[in-house]
Amino acid sequence: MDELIEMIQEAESRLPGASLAEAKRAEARVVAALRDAQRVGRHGGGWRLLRQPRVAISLAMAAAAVVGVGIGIGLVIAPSGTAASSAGPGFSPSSGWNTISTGIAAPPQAPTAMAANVPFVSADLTPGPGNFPTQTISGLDPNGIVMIAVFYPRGENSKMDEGFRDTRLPLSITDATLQAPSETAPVPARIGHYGLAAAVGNYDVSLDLFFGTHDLSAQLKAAAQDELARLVVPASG
Amino acid sequence: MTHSDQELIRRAIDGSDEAARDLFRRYWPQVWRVAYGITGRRAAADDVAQDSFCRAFASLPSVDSNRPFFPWLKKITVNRALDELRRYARQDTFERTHEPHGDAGWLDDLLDRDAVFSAMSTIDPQQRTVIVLRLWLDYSIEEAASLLEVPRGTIMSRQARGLASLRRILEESWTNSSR
Repeated sequence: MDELIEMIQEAESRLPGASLAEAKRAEARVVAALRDAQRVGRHGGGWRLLRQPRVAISLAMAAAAVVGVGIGIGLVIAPSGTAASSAGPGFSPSSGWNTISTGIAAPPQAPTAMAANVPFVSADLTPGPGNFPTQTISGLDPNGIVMIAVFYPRGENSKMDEGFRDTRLPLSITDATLQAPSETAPVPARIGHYGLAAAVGNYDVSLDLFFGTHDLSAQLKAAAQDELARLVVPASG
Repeated sequence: MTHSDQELIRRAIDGSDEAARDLFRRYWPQVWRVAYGITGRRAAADDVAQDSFCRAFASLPSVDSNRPFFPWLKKITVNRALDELRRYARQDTFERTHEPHGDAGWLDDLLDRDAVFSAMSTIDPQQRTVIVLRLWLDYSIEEAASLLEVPRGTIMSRQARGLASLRRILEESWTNSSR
């Protein structure tokens, strides 16, 4: 079983518990809430359980996101048209496209690759896997495209593999679906964000595609499809 | 004799405070841990857990008593915890840095002692929420998407990126600690 998944699941058992004093206070208030609701005949109270509040995930919680220093180790950056000597999954080089990949040199064990038909903003050149190159994305013009692919090891945990359908390369732009806006890594509203998930070989591939427009012309889609066709997933990794 | 949830609910509605307390005690620890797992702060977990129970109990007279109680209560709790995250984000920075002593959250409670919690506290909150829902609360992709009101693909994307981030952070941590 994936060691990381085991660790996360096991960590749940180490979560602290509530204090006894707080539990006692809460117990009294909760029982009172039931009696209050019955007394005033407010069935359902002021809390309509059928109403699902719109959830907006916040920027809060803890320290700022860490942009891994270690990710710089083994990072392969291939400016447009040059060869990227990556032993792992990623985008093959092509004129007009810039690519970044982490390869499979340890660390990390979850390779990440990015491709863009625009130059990457320097601040985005050392991405943490899991993070978007938001400055590059935010600057996209209507013809701009950025793709980010995360390759997670497949077959180690069936729950994590759920939803990644066996697919043969090349991936198809027609399988990409519109994604929800991110509140923690926001991009301008004019940016179109699509996602695509596929099981390819030994990897669950999660792909995010960003366009500088919501109006995807046939030409823009074709350019994206051409780049998708350059996605390489080694037979083993 | 152990009573079923439905039996406790019926007796609580009929006026038995003892049945209401039994039902509360049966699920309070789990509800509190759900609240803490998502909010990461003790005081917030206290408020969220209590509020979730109050909402559920106040609705007991009107809901179907045969409906499974804990899954419903868990969903209320997750929604309230997510609301709390949003509220916390809107707080002035002063309020956050001057929270009452003892509610330092994950960072102070666990940072120095637990690499997994430390890593969890630093990844994107949206990614962390999906990981908590999927791996701690055992939500399916569809259930998580429905709860967060986002497309299924967004859940999968955040899950993949969150796990990749955790992997990287933990490996860096181990690499640094072995030097």
